Amino acid sequence: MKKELPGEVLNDMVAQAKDGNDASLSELCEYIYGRIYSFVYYRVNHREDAEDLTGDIVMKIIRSLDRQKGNFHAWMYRIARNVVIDFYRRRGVRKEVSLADVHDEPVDERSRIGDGVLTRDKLRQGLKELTAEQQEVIILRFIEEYSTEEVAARMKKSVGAVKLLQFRAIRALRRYLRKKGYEIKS
Amino acid sequence: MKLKVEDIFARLLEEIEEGRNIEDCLAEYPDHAEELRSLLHLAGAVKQMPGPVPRREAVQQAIRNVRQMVQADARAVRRFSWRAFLLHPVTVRTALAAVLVIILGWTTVGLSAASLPGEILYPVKRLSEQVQYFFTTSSEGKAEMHILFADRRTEEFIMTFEPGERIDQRLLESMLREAASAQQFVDELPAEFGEVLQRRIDVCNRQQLSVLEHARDRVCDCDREMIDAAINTCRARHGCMPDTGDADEPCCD
Repeated sequence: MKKELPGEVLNDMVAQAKDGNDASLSELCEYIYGRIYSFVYYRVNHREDAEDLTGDIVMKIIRSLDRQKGNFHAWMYRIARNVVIDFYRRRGVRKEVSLADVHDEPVDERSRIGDGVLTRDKLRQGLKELTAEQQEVIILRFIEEYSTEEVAARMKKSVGAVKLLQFRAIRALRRYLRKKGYEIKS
Repeated sequence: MKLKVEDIFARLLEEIEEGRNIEDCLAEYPDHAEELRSLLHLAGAVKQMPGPVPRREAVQQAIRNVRQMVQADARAVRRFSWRAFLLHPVTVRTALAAVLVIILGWTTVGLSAASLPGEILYPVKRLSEQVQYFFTTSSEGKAEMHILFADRRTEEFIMTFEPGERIDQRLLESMLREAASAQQFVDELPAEFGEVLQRRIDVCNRQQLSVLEHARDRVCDCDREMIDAAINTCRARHGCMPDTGDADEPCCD
């Protein structure tokens, strides 16, 4: 997980970017891009779409900086979520993972599940089988590695609701992987 | 209290994040161990999965786009000038249209002041009265408005009256109603404020009574009953008017 900047450092960066400091603006863009990219990537299942959408989200966030109030990260993810929703709304259906995109993946991007191996492609396909909220909780809790409380703040849900959601999401993911023949230690 | 399985799962995840071993954690919950083991392994595998890394050129492109957007916004702000705004064709056209509408509106309202029932501009006259009334907030102001409107309706009655012809029943009713409304507002005012207005209502009522009595013998037979009723109303009100020479005279109502 990329390290989240402390509040005061981030506020300082935002203030300087608002004042027209070019270096701070670039730094802030890079930071936002880094935080948002994997969230978008696992939601849209396509690298180029993810890059385009993340670029759009960064522009939207920078343009709305003057109106930002409260928790910066929660606000940032809210904008990202809305852009992804708009993307699917415009498209009508979810885009299937293209073969070219799958082969684009470096082979070492995988991790072990008990005695088996989980590849990013398989995880991505598994996420596609989940509801939007389940996808979001898996991305925020297990990929972005936010705490349950932080996920609750970002998703505007209670901690109890997030606990239930993460349990159901990981169970649904296990069901999909088992169906696809992945051995998961139990 | 027995914990729900999702709460146990959340708790174990946190303990594993802090460095505890999965099997040690599961030993505390033997009933759920079998169910949770594979879920915890899967959660761990998802966590260990290296995150997708955006291409450097995509990030650089996004930063370039943001810089261009910020520069374009800054140019747009710098370019704004009141002179340019005021001389912009759209601003000029809008301002001219607004002036034209105001002049036309003003002229129409002015012309409508002399209009009579049945004429094209008469609805404008009544509408402008309603607008005037709407913006009058005090009881004194509203009473004055009703007196003014009662005088106008009386004048309109005189102007539209034709001997032997039918009289305008709505106009007659409106004339009496305005005077009655004025009286209602004056009744609610303290005596020191209402005295002057009361005299004006008195004059208005006398004038209405005089006009109606004058018209009575000239109206067609079919309207005689209506005009008699109106005259009776006026007489009753006239009787109610406190005599200016004897303010202690009780009202007949």
